[in-house]
Amino acid sequence: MLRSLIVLMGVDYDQWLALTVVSLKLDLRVANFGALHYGNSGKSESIFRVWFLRLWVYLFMGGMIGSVVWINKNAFFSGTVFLTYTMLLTAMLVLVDFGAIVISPEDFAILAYQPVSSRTYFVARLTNLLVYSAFLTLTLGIIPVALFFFTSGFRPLLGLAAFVAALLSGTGTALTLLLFYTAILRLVHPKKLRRAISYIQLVASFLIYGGYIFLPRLVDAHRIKILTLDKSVWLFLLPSTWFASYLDLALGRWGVAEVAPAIVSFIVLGLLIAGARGKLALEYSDQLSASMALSEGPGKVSSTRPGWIFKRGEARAVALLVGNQFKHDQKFRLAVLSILPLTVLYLWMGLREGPLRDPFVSGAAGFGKSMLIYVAVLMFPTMLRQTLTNSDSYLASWIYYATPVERSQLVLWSKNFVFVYFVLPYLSAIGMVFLYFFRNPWHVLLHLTLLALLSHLFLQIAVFANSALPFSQPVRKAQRSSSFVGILLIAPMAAVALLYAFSRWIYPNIPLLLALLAGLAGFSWLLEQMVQMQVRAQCASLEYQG
Amino acid sequence: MIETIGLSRLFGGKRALDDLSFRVEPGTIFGFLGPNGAGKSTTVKILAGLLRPSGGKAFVAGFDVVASPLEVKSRLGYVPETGALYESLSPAEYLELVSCLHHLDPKVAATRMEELLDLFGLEHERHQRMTEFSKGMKQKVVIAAALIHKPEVLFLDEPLNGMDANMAMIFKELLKKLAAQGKTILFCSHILEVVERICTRILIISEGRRIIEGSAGEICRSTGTETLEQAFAQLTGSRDAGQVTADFLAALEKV
Repeated sequence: MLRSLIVLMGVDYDQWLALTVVSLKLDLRVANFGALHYGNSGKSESIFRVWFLRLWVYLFMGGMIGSVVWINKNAFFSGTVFLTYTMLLTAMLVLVDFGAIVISPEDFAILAYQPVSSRTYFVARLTNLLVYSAFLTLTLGIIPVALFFFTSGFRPLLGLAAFVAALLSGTGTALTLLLFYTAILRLVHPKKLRRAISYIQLVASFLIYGGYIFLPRLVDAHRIKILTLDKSVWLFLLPSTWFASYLDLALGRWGVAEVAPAIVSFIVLGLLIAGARGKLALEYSDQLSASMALSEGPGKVSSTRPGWIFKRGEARAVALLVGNQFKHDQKFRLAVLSILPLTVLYLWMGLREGPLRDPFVSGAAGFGKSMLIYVAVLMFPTMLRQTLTNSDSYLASWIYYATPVERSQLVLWSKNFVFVYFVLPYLSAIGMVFLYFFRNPWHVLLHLTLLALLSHLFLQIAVFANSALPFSQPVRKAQRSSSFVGILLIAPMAAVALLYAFSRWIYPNIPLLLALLAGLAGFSWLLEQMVQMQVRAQCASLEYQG
Repeated sequence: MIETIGLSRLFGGKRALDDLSFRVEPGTIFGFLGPNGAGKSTTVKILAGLLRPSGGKAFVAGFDVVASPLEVKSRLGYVPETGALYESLSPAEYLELVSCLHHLDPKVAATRMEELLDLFGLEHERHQRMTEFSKGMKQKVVIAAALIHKPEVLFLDEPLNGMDANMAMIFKELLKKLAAQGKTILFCSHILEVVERICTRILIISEGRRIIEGSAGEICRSTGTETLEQAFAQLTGSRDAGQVTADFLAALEKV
């Protein structure tokens, strides 16, 4: 049956099957599926772990939107909300994996000299795209779809309509992105487009994850229960309403406002498939790889000038390396920048209960409100330090082994660089927020000094536990480091407990506080000596990972 | 058989190939030489159906590469200079894909896969993902994929890249045997000693144009040189190696 259908389309069945199976295998092994930090050299057990985790994340996301279906019994309203959300998430995930899933520039180099027709390649890629969007929409949509089946008694037609709507809207989204992406590629260089997409992802992920926290507070269950949508012409400009009209049809409502949008959805899908045909051909893959190989054109020439204490030897090398990586390595830059929206989110969560309280005035009374901010302030430097050790270009770290560089110094200076160029500016920004609420610069200064000392302490502990050289480890491998996870989870908790103790018992006594700050600085100096010894010992046994 | 007639290719305003004509008979290992940017890879890509010519004709195994690309590709084995393959697959999976694309019977494909992996010493790595492979190991898989469907014509673009000396020796012997079976082999390489030793005929091109064609001996005689390397340097206008290195060393001393 399937063979006959495929052959009827003028496609070589055996080739189609082989290409489809291989591309699905490659997707399973290579694709990010929404994660920014996942290498392509993973072994099977960690790949399954990643997939298992993703499955739970998607189910959780689906569960969140399922609550709307559960509360609001208006099928068109809850269907539109569900499909809008599913389409948005599918769009974001397809954007992340575009290179691997939708069109792969490497296909041309590998398949162009094989006896595969453009039509066979197109249908194989289209199958791949359909499977991918089906996986996303089904895992995101399984809970809402199940709820459509059962919430108001057993209504199989409604459930089926929700299932088909989710599947087709996901496919439509993926195809739209394909056409949109390829149209923009005519105007913009692929590297610039990728850069722009990365920033869109950063903002979109902030909006989506932030939405989970914001929305339940803005719209309560009672309000969701009574919400409906007026079927005006303007409303039908939203594509998800076309697919949501399937739900009304399943309930036996066959008016113009239900039938017309459903017909529009089929016409648009047909047009999208026809339009995608030229984009999923091997020739297009060739154009894409050729345009990627082309120079982006002369960009702004700016050299990194390491200043202050980073003027010589290993310190200068680290400053040049990290500065230039930040400028040119999109993944590294995003990892650093992603801290900002998360900080804003944590600040907002802390502030929604009321203004931040000056710990010198209120003691430990208002401490619980600020706890998330302190966790962020203390956790992010350690995360940054870890980011600094990972890179897709880790093979280039041979240079640390083939030159007479002091490797332990590279490790220590990379820690110092993180502290000077990331932690201090970050604390300064947080300090401005504190100043706004505390209104006492002296209190802010003392509080920030304690935070800075604790941040540095965590950096030292992180380096002590793992003396990896800058950008010398494959991304995935570094992520698995259990000591890193331990530091990330346990250490901020310990520090928050310490901060609580300070604000309750030490802050009221300024001379004691100053003495303890000096003591902490002294302890940090002692720890630095131990870290240096440990790093030297670890670096002596380090080996190139390539 | 391979034949090109007045082949040309433009990239933007730049002429990469200019009226290039040559013919390779079955049973020949044809050395295709030229300095960097001479147009070798462009020619091979046109013959393999990866690029379209701007002018002229090209035939492989009797088929026009533009009019009948699938006929050409089903008779062709190609080892690209890039050595591109799907690294997330294992050698067994990759070879299975290639054999499916060539419609090989699964049993035949399995037998040939065993033989090829044994030949290249990859029998223990057949199910490992190639992401962890060395350059030489990947190259062996690319070569195995080019041979699995017993092609009439072989295009080999720097096939010895990354290969160890023992394997290179076996591979060169294999090429001679394949040529003896009547296969047509186009061999591109910068290792002129190898070309001189195994190629029955050699064509040197420069700036997209034909410079000279003949056996290694004929080319040396016509240029009055002793080795193919010397003939190549003379014909392609290489700068005096001694003078260039002397200038470089002097520049290093100045700083």
